[in-house]
Amino acid sequence: MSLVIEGLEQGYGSRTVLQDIDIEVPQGKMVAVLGPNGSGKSTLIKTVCNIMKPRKGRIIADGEDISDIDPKEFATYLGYVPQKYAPSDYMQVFDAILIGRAPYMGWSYSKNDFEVAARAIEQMGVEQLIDKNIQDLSGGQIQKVILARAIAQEPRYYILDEPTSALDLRNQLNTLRTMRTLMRERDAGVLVALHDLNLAMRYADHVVMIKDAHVYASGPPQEVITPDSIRAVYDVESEVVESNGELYIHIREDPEDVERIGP
Amino acid sequence: MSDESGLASRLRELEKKSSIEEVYESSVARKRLYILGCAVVTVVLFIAALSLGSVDIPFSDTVKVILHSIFPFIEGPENETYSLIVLQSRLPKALMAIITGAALGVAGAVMQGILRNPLVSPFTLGVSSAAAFGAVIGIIFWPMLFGAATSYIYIFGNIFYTRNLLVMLFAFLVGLASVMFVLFLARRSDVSKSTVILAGVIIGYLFQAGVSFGKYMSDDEALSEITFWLLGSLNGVTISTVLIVLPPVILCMLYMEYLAPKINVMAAGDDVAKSLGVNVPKIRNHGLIVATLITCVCIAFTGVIGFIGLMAPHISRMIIGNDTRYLLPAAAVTGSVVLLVSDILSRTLFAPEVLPIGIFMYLFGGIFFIWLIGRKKRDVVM
Repeated sequence: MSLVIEGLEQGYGSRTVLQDIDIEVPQGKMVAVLGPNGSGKSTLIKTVCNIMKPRKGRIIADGEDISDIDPKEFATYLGYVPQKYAPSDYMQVFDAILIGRAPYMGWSYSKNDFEVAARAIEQMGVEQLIDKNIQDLSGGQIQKVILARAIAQEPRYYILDEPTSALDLRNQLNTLRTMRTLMRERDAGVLVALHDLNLAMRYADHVVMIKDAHVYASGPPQEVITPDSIRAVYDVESEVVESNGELYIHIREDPEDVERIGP
Repeated sequence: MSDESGLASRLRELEKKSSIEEVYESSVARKRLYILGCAVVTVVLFIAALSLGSVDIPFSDTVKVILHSIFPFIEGPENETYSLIVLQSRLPKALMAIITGAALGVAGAVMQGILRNPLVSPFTLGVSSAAAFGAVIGIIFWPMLFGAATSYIYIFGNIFYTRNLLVMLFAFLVGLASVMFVLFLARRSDVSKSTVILAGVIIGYLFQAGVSFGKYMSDDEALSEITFWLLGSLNGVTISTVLIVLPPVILCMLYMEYLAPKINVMAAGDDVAKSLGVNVPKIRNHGLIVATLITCVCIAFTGVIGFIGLMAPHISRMIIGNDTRYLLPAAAVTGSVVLLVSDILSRTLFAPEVLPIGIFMYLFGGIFFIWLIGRKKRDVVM
């Protein structure tokens, strides 16, 4: 069982953002998509979640083309976590999390809905926030609430668009660790767009680098995240450092940039 | 020892698991209490509206009149004219105040929910300007074309002048057409909520121009009629009006309540709602059309009773939060309360003079609104 992106092409107007994209997200694995700003990571995520229709190619979740899945069942296949989230006024956190149970509810929530939501709340560690107004939360807290919503949704695949962008260092690690635990417990797949190369190196099972609308490299993190690929995709000099058996990316400043912009 | 700590941790676990349910249940209880409280206030105000006016009738006699009309075996009041005043003159107006307040409150709540914009209401989307323009056409241009029509028809035993019915029909149709036009414009340039709102505002201005032109063109008699229509009034309301308005209002409300769980999901954003299986464009279009329908049905008979569609949902939202399933009934009862209070004030403050209801609604509602916002700010600071 897996989520398969097959020969995907996507774009806006005459601009092609993604071309010939093939990615497979097996159950129980985390696949990270890397690429500079504007490389189409968010577009890819939105297309996978059926928010945008692909120009070409197919998205197949557990053998079913996602465009053929009944909208009501769709939420049990894929759980989408957007990069930006503008909460409505006066919305309380428990309401925001219970939205994840919407695909399962009729007019009101069942006992099971609350149990699942309570587990999600515990997993994201947001017990203290549930009776708060979402407006009063910090960006990082909102991000956690949104993840808790996606967890409460109990999808087979989590599709996350930079879930760590609003979080501090500790919460970045916690979040990805939680996602990995969850993924193993539920045997779910995770497709995550990331900025941070070190997080991808540390937590992803598989990494896809996107450059100029195409997959530049795809494979295990240690093979894909290399000084060569980083230079090619991000135009940045770097070296891979090993410490305590783990690999880290160390970014070196480009002397020309330092001269141009200042240190 | 280990048993005890095991039990303690189990208890803690149970506490945690029940906590979201508890928070939810207590919030639902609060929501129900608010709705129930407003409903009780509505009933009290309803009886007050029947009792107060140019002739003050004792509360007990008003209750007697109502009970007598429902259960004929209960004795009516000694003064026969009380029955006449209450049933013929005041009852339809009070009922219409409740229905219109509820309808506009719900319509505003739905529009705010599906467009995720707190500034949206039937009036900010141009529906009222459009309906007013329709009424102006009816008031001025129809007699120009067809002369002074004095024909009338009977509906549920009450006289309706054809000309007045035409004014209502025009107000209704043009109001509805405006939202169709807004949706059409928004569809051509990608359905996003900002385009819908912008289109609504622009269309509102266009119809405003039409209304101004109509005012400029009209004679004194028509001008005063237009002015009265623009201010809104329950004066022309009879029991037949109530019977015409009630069925579509109830149907529209039930449909909107049916949409409520989906509107809740849309609060998480269009993209997330789509990924959660909600057909966003469909809910948005249906919600907008039904909200406009319910608005037009009411204001066709009452004239422009604005603001309540913006205010009632806001007051409710500030007090009970964003859950549309409870917000709709809450906005409905809040709207009824606001309109009933305005109605009572407009009839009693300068009695026997009856002022347009809109004046008090803006005053009363505006002050209450400012108080709520002020209170909210202090809360945040603290």
